[in-house]
Amino acid sequence: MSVAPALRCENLSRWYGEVQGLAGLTVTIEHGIVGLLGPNGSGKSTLMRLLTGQIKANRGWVEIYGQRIVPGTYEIFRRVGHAPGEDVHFETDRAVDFLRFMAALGGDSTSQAKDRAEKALDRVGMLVKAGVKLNAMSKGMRQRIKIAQALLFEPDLLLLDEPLNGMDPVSRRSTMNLVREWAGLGRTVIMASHVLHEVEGVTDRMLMLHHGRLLAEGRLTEIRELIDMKPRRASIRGENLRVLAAELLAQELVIGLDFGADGLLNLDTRNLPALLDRLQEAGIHGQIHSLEIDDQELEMVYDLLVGGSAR
Amino acid sequence: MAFRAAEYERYKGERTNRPAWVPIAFGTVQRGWKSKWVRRLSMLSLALGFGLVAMMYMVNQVMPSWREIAEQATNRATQGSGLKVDAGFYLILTNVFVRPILLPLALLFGYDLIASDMRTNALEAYFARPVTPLGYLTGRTLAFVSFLMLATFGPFFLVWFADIATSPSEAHTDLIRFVPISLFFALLFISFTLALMVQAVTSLTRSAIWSNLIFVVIFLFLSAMGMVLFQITDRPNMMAFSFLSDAKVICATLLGIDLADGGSPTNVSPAIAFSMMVGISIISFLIILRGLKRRSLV
Repeated sequence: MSVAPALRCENLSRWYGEVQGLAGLTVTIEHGIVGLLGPNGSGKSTLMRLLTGQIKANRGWVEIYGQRIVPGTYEIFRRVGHAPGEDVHFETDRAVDFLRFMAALGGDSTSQAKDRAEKALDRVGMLVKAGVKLNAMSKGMRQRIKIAQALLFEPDLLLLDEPLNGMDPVSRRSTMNLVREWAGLGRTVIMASHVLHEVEGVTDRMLMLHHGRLLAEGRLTEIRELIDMKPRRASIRGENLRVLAAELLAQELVIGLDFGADGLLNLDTRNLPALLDRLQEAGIHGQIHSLEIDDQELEMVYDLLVGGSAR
Repeated sequence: MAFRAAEYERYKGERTNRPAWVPIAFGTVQRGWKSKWVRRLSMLSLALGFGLVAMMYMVNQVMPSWREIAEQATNRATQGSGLKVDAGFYLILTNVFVRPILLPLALLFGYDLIASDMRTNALEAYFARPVTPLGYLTGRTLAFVSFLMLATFGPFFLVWFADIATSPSEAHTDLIRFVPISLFFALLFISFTLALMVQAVTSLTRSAIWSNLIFVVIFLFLSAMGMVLFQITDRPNMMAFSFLSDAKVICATLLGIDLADGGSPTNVSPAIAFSMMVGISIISFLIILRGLKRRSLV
């Protein structure tokens, strides 16, 4: 394994006409798993395409394992595996044919391509589906085929663009395990997602993009602390909610509350875990019938980091 | 269905440095062959070739001097411009294979070749593999041209081979000795131009329907326009707008036939016909490469 960092970007910028895809990204990733977080249009896929040489940077540069990507670069991409975000329907119909074709493109002979395709299918648990046509597969299964394609040549740098989209819970867990295993072998994985807890499931390190700019870089635990400081909202339905609300105010577990339509009680808190403990007690006694917690963590992080003005 | 875990062994197979256009070319041929109408048209073309060979063989068994008989008979019927089995005979045969076979086959084979890759994001996967735009285009075009050549030059070669094998004299053999080489290069040039043009149009439209409509305009409307302009201006070079006219002139020129000698003044000059084809090829190549390079750095 090379001692050079897996990835270095310096002032990396890309425009699509007047639209800014990525603006001045400067980052170094040594190894391990890094989550690339951002909402749609934040520049995640643009970065992935820049890293795989599919588009050219308007400004700045990228180095992969110490080799700068310039027109004509070829060999370094042999160390990179990429599962694109978009669904891809290839000319070959069956999963194994598609992977064989992709292996052949990468330089395998016919027999090697077959072996390699079967290995990759086995790796993602899809060997039994090798003969199934891609258009007959669910989105989650096609996602796994795309990941198998990215793993074909056992890349040192694995780029996964929204890999968990459309996957069922079991496949999601398996994919997360696979990503951790891959990084455990000393390789580097960059996993793009717009869902915070997906990234949180595989790594603590993240890059956060917003409108093409690097908004934050660091540990998710720090982000988590920020989230926990931010008021969160829980909404409950049940019986004797006025009594419960008064009690929560007295215990300073909530900083604000209001009654919505249909008897819904909205509670704002800075200490969600303590509030949930208390609500759980009330739930045990049958006082609470339903509980909903806002699931806008990523949006909340953006609000915190950009002062609520950027979106 | 769980993923395989740590017992997985890393695949040890060595990767070759074989250029990526090779599997692209094989993939293109396989893709073309999947089309029912491509198969039918190719088979029809080859069957026509075998049919002509069988006919020549049988006629030769019954009348070894059928060439002279045919020439004399047609001479009488046409008052001097009879059918002679020489390079001109093969030029007439191009009407059988170029117009009804080559053009439809090029459309059927190529109308969605690059367009579908663009629509379905397959280019993203190719270029991340990585395949260079030039490698991609080389693979696609080589396969495309090979297929067109098989369906057009293949039957010509069969007929020529049968003609040579049953040649009645050394003089006849000399007359047709260089026909396959001439036709090979003529059809190669035409197929190459056609393959690039079809791919350029599909890469612009990214739609099978629009591509076909544009080809109707190119092959029919422009041919008609060339004819009308010729009628109005009385300048044969106006026929350069007609792809078929250009193709015919190129075949004739490489076969060593001067079309003006046959009293046919409606033909464009060879220099202009070649220039048109070269121009179409260069413009098409640049259009495709521009479209592909916008999607790739490597």
